[in-house]
Amino acid sequence: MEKQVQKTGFLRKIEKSTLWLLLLLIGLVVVVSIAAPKQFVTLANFQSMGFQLPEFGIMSLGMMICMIAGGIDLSIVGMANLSGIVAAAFMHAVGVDSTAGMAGGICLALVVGMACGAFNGLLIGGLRIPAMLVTLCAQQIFMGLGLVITKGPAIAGLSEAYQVIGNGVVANAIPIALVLFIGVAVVLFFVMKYTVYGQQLYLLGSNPVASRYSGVNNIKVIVKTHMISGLLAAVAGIVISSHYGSAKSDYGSAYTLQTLLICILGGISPVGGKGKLAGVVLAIVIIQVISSAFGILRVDSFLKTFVFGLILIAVMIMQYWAGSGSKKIKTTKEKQIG
Amino acid sequence: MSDVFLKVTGIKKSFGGVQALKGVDLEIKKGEVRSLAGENGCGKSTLIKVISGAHSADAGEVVIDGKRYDSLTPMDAICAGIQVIYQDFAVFPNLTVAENIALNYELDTCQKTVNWKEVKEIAQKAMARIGAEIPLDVLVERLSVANKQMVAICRALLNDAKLVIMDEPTTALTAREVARLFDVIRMMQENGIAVMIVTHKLDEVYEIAETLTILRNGEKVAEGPINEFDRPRFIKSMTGRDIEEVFYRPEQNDNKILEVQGISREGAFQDVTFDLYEGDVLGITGLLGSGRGEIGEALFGMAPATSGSIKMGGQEIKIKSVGDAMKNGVGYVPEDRLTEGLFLELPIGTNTIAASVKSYLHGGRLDYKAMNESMWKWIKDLSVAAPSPEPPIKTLSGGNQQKVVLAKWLNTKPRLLILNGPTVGVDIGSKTDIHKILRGLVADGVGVIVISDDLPELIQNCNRVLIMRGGKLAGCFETTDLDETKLSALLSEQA
Repeated sequence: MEKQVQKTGFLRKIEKSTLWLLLLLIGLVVVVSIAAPKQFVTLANFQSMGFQLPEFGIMSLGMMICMIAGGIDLSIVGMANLSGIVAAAFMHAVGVDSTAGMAGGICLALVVGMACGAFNGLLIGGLRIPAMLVTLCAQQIFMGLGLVITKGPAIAGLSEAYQVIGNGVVANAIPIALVLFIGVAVVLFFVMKYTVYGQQLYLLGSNPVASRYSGVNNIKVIVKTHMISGLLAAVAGIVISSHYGSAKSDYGSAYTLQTLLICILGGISPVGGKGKLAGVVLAIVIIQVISSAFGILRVDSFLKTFVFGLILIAVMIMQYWAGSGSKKIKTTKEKQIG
Repeated sequence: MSDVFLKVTGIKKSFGGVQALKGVDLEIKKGEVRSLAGENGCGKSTLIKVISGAHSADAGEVVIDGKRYDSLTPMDAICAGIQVIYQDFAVFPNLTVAENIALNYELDTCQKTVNWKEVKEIAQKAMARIGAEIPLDVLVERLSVANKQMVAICRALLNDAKLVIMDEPTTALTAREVARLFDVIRMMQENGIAVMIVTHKLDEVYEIAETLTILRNGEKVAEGPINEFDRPRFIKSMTGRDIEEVFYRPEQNDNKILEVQGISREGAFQDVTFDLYEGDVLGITGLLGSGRGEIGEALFGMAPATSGSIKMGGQEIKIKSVGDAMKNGVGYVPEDRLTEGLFLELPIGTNTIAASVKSYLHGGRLDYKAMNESMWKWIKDLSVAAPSPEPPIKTLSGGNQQKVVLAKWLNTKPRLLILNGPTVGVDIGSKTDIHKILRGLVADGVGVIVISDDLPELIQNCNRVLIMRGGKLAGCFETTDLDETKLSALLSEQA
């Protein structure tokens, strides 16, 4: 097909790394299935994975585009919680059971997420402050704002209808949140592949100076990227608050590291400009399987954060080795031969 | 002991599937000045890296001063007295001249503390050896290119160099600075230091080198004393084909494509006025810092002019941003290909369409088939030496990379194309190709402005040349009245 014709060489390379991830996933599933066949290979387990995965999965996609743009977004969790809190507060204000209130709350959450992203994007793109600093500070700001609104404890008592988003299933088995995640991934795939923005995202991430000299409006692309990240964070925030039936400022604090880990594992280059959505989606599933395995094998869940940190470092070391051997990952500093 | 300092035999080196060196022999005698010439991508850089220990060869032998090295490390090479001065000199811009020259040496003595007095004395002595006079306390970032180079040379000599390899040492130097550099090289030669100059500038080869080695496609194709080579043989050996140096006189008519009236930008250029006629190639030249490049950046909206007017096709236009410039059909090939022109990690094809992604939007989605067609079309039309659009552009040689940068702009169908240093670091073959492309553009009615310090290039291609001096337009000359010497004199003339 046309895609094949156009990117045979590149596709082959992509397929190799994607294949590697796929093998890793299959290997993991086999190992966990053998270790705990009765608990792992069950509908209930797959369903519960389907409930957990979308929360950090959607966030990871936001992290992914920020990293492809050559930056990072450490404020995703803050944006998610703030969006969820604003939605919850709004729904309480207009009456918990009002359908219009719920629709309004959700829309408001999405707007809050995009506004937070725009704030990040303008500071990073317009004032050229490193993304790492901006989003780390922004995380504090968003969490602080959330605390101000909630005054500490969770805003509970959200309507049954709202809780369906995070807890409901379609076709008697498939979590609505999972469907939402798949929908988000498909739309994002289209955006990255078939829009001008998607191409400019890779150009910017690969070489911001050259992209400026090629007529790319860098500031616009950066702001857009962080607004999308904020929007996705808001979607994740809605899923989380719906799942718990409440909104709080410090839900999902471990997700920041987890999304970073997923992107690196999924082949997103830490220096920008490289990586594909398919790899990240596979990495999301892999991390979910590992996470579930912890629960099933009854490993201390506090150990999980530690292990995720270790995996992140291990993956980067492996990529470094692979890079120095087969020149898979290269920094722009390396010059061409000849 | 023989007087041969370095001898390499049968060096082979390949990267992935590309064989960069196919069994190269090279011999350098003590105190010899040899020129290593060849087009970009011929394996010059790879050979240097093998000699300096940065790459290990796949096969072949390196013998330095009678000692055979199986696996030469960079440290071995330095200890044996081989020093490489790269194009960017690898100086520390944030340190002073004295620190740059002597700090390394001082640290090598393994004392725990730095004796600053000694550092200065060492630096002073090193400079005296080549007769350089640069204030010791100045930060290196504030030096001119030529002086940075002197600092790099001083540092190399301190490390007890016996062979100094210089990679394209003259690209950023004015004629006077080149002469100065050559004096220094002769001084080193008198001290028994061998020098190998990597270059593809013919005139320099004749002026300074005693012997010449020419590489082509990873093989040594010619070697011998310089007087055995005349210009045609030199070019033939480098390119493998006969190239005549044709002078091009565009046929211009009276239609003005571009009228620039009194544009200024604080600190860059003042009150610059010129017209560009249809069918003309306009040259802009001047020394570094004369504002020649800034005019290009202004017309492209990168650093817009703050006053004055610009008319295209008789209509006044405002260029306040790159977006404005592109809307009006202005394209710009920037000076620094690697950092400003290319997305090194991205495929060749992506690079060709980087400035025109929008034009492939059909029915709300990008048309990959059309994109792919454009990529192949440019690779074929501009004879880019690439098997397909997929490999990253960093795998191409300078000349081919530059063609791709050009393709990126041709693909936008520009009405005015500004090229800043279109053939810097480009081999002769590609240079000729690029000049041909420009002529084709002009014939199609596109306005072309070439900003360059390559004077023969300007004389060969342009009808008129604007000369910038200290941010002001110093004059506009018909190239029929000019030759290189005259132009060179005009550049540095005190206004």
